[in-house]
Amino acid sequence: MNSPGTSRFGRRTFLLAAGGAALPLAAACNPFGSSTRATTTVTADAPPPVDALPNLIATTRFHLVRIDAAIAADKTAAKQLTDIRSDRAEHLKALEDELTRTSGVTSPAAPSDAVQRVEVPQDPVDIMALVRSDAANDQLLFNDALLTCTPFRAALYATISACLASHRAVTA
Amino acid sequence: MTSPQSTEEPTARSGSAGSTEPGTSAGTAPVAASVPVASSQAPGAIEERALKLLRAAVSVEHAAIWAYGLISAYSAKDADLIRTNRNGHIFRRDAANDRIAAAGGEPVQPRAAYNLPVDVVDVESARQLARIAESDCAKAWRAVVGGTDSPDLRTFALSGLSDSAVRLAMLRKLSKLTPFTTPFPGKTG
Repeated sequence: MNSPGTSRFGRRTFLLAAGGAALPLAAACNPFGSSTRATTTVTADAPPPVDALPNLIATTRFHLVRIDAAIAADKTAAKQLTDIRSDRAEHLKALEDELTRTSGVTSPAAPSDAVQRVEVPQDPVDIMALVRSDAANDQLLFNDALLTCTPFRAALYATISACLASHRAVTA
Repeated sequence: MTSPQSTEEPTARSGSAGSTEPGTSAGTAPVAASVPVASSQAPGAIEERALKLLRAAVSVEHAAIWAYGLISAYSAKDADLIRTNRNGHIFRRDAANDRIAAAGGEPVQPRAAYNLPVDVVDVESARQLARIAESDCAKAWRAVVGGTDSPDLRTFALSGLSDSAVRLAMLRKLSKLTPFTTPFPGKTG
């Protein structure tokens, strides 16, 4: 028959030894060492703000082409549409000048006439509605753009937006 | 016609602060001329330069309101248009004065009278005065847009500029002055 005291001591010693060895291994750490690893958070740079100006130039140019087509299709409203075209041409020039002034980049040349030809409705009422719709769409673009640009550009965009509002009014 | 510097008395004005402009586009434009302005939201602080420009714009609005009072006496057949235009200026003036007060400034008060750039003697000279008043307002609001970095104030000033541009175009159309529109309303020179 075994002595109970001898058996209990042996089991306790074994458990202490095993636990003492396993614990640092399980924790995978060295309490007396110095870690050279550091947690760093890398935040990606925000993308640069998108300049609305090239898009405004493109849409203004497109609407000019549509007004040209409208003038050709509706002789009865040619005078009024020609006045509107004159305003839009001035807008395009001012926008292109602003692009050149601020970035030194010249606006890309307009496509050739063959590429620019667009279809417009034949009904004079529909033609005028199209012109109004273009003015309304462009007005929204300028309204959005003026919120996040320089004060100089904001004034330019605002005055073009106001002109487009007047185009919508006189063609209604 | 107008001078942006007014001899205002610093008393509080209780202006209207609706979120839409009442009746300004009915007679002048069948379409919404300007972007909607949520004047119920607190405008907050305004840069010092922008505040000065905003006060100048209110002074010009005061002058336009005064001018339309005179115009109405000579242009009875344009009564609806004149009333609509005048209401638009009253709304704009009050909303702008509310913003000035909210920013801690003193609301701008009107003068007793203003110098006239034209002798108003008949319908056409009355319409001419209306066109000058709208042109002055457009210039003042364009200056506000270009004098602030605040998107909220830019949007508000844009509404003033757009409304005046539309009124000016409709007044030119009424007088059969072509072209009805101008490419850069409010631009000086």
